[in-house]
Amino acid sequence: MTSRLSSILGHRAWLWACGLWLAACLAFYVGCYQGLFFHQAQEQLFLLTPSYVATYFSAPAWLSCLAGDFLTQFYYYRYAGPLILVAALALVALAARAALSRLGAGRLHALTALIVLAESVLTLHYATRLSSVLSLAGGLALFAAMPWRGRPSLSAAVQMLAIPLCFWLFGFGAMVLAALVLADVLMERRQMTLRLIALALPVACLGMARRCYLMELGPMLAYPGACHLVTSPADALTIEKNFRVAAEYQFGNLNRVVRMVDADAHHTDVQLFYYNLAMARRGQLPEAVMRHMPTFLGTLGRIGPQTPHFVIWGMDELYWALGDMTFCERAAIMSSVFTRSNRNIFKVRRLAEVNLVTGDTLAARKYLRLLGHTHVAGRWADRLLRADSAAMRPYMAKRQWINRIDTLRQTDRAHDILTELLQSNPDNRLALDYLLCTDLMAKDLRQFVADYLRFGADAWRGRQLPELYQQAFCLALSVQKAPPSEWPHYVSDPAIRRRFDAYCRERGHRNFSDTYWYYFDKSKIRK
Amino acid sequence: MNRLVMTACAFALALASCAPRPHSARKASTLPPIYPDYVGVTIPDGIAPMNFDFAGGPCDRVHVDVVGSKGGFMSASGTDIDFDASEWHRLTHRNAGGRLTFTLSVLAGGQWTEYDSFDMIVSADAIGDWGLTYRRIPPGYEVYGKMGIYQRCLSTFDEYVLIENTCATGHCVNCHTAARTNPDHFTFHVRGEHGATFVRHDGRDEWLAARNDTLGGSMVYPYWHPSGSFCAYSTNRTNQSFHAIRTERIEVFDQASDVFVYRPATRQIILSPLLATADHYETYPVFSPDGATLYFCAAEARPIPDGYQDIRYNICRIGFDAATGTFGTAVDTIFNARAMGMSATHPRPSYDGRYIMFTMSRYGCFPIWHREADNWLLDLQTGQARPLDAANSPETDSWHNWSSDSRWFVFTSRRDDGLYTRLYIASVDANGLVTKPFMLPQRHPAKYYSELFDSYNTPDFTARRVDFDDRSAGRRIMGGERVPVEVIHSR
Repeated sequence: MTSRLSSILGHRAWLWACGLWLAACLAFYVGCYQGLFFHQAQEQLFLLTPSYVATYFSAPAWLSCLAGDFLTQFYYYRYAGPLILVAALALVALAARAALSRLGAGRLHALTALIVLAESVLTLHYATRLSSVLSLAGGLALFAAMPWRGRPSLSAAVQMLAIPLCFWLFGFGAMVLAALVLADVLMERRQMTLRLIALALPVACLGMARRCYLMELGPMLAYPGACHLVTSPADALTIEKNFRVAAEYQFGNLNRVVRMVDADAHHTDVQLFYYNLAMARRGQLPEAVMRHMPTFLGTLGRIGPQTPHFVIWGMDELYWALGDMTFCERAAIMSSVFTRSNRNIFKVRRLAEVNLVTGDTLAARKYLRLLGHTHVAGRWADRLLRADSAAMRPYMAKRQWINRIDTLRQTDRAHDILTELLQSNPDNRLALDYLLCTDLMAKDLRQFVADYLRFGADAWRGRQLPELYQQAFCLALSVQKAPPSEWPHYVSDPAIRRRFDAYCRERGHRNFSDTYWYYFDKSKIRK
Repeated sequence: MNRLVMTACAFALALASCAPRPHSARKASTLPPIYPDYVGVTIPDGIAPMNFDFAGGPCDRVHVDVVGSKGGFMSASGTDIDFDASEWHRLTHRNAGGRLTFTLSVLAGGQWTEYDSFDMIVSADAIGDWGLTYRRIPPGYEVYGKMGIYQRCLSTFDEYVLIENTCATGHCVNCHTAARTNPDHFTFHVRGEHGATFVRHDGRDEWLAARNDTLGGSMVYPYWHPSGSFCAYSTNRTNQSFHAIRTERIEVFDQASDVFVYRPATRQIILSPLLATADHYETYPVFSPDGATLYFCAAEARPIPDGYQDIRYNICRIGFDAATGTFGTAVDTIFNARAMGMSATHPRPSYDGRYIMFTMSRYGCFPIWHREADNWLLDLQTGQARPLDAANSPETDSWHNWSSDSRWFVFTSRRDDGLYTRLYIASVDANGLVTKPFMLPQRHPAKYYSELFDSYNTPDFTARRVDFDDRSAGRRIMGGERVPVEVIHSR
């Protein structure tokens, strides 16, 4: 064993190359791919309870899935994800080299490098779980550990047992093992018939496991996901941008969200959604909403089966910030539904928070008890279960913002939601900014004026309106042919008035592309 | 061999004797807080072990002694109470018509505490049915993740998949119903891109088109004629709205609904103008046990959303002639909930013809999100209706069905956490006396229910395990091949 290990590790050049590649992977993950790790961390609700652990036996690859999901929960911590994944890739490298060495394959280093490179590429896909990497390592390692060389009948017996065992422990790792065994049979060429039968039989028998696992044959043999390949690097980077901005927002790093989006030249809707939300929480939505056009507020669309998952995943954050607990709960539940296992730890946390705010103690305790069994949220949940007053304080404070108008909403039309929130709490500045900005982005000037007069006049009494609103009033007042004496009530900055006069002379000119007037005349409404 | 068994028994006894047993216990003059609340419930002989957890705070160990009023004794110890199944079944069988007395002791901080004993009454009426069928679904509003229809053996903890939407990705399966718990006649509905209505009749499985243009909708809320030759359905244009503040979370209401009967043998849908009126919503059809009457719920149509709180359903009836497949000529109201300012839905006649159980709520046709919703019993002999106080709770109680002997009923309730519905079973004796219900037993109930994110709904008893190939069904659903049906009008 020692000699085998030393032979594996003995090739210093190979070790250097492997180490350099893994270091490059680590640097890439840390520098460019952190969002994916946070996303994967929330795509599960790993409970440290016997009954939950027992559920892993209802699918193949229980060992790699259990180990993978257990470790994935630590992806929540910055840098933990890259370190864990690189360690798993190192395992793949070691196992691959041991397996290929055992096989006596020529071009050993090149083949090992190919496997590690291929697996590294697969990890770029957001659906590639850590358990997939561990499954591959498991299949390779089991082949390397099989005591058979030179004794074909013993080899046949061992492979008959090893393949089902490998499937049970490592899922598709069994297919890797079978492929290596086949290569070994073809290379060794002794008692080929016996060994081929001993290979074909267990592989064929795996099909019978379908009934046990309630899975279709293809997905079952590839479980827990053998090959998710990024087909377009540009798409992968776009997805990563979305993951990353969502992660930073959820961590509460509003400044990072803003910096990240400001520094980017090509924005996604999700980035702009969180950017606007971050700026709204700073009280700067009117200043920010047109900074990166075409903007995306998230209030002009509706949640439904056609809504992109990314948008659904973020909607609970919007409703949470606004104070609408009904739709926050709905969005959180739907986000959970759209999660791989229908359980998303941070959405479950949000469900607990919603019920703490609304005072639905029974429901809140259900979620808190569950979260109490998690590593990431366990301490937080325990404090709330003990009704720790410091832990409860933010939720008590949030109660003042919730909706108190009892109506039946047939849709999630944002205007109705925001109006009701403002009726309940005229001081809800976030809702007011979203309401007015939504009106403006929908180019509904009449509604903008009505909403401003109803909810905004008091908020800005004696203060200058944000530039965006003054620009909008320029248009509205000009359409209404309002008398000059009325203008200063809404457009108090003479520079804006002068610029509007200039715009009227050159309507639609690109010199005014930073103004609401230009947006109103030239841009399409984005939903 | 005998020596081996003896040695094993001795070893087991030795192990058991090593486990700490209550000693020097402090008496607590109160009933033990346990989860689920099984104190004073009535259970059938043959039910799965009524395992429970101590719910009075952290403890190191619990021990329970169970004594039968007609003899027999058993005990269980551990971090929760997990009875030996065969010992449990022997004890409950011996005490059918009697009671079991439980004495619970709890070890916490090195001190045993013995609580007041409590009883479970073992009914003389066993549930004649094999188990339950039900749907489990995460309450996902408009979209659904993994969900399915399952069947559960009542004497064990074994649950089996009847059909899961993993077999037909993106689809929702619902409204499954057997004929008087007999799965030879069986139907359920599939919603989604490849929607369908499944009908099993006389050994023939058929997939009907989910939507029918003549009906203007799909076939939902089924109920079989006792002969198995007809199945009544409603067709509903259902919408969902959201309450802005938390009295109820969601409001589901119909903006149109009619009732009709399907005859599987001839693949005919039989319509009646009396069951498809423009100014009323007709829904939830059910046949009387003799098959001569079709009960259904009806409400005057109201504008939505302004009038949603004024939509109140009564229970009505119309005659049905199974020989000719024709309806009667008049509709009678047999329970006027509207006059009480309430709405009556989900009628379910007991199979002995004595009662109709229904759900009463303040308004609407979908009480499952109404906290005030309770189950009521209408005595068809006296015409009197009363709430099932012993079985109802302050949270939603709805979706019920009778066992084949009409001595037990299963229903859903949100009383556990106010959010997810769970299944409860209660008995009704010959005098109409309803007992305290018990939550569907699980091996480790606290763990099971706390980790479950699904709601149970549309539960029904099944006489035996339903034989259904979910894989093949999934392929049929996705294949899209559907049997055409003919629509005819009743004379």
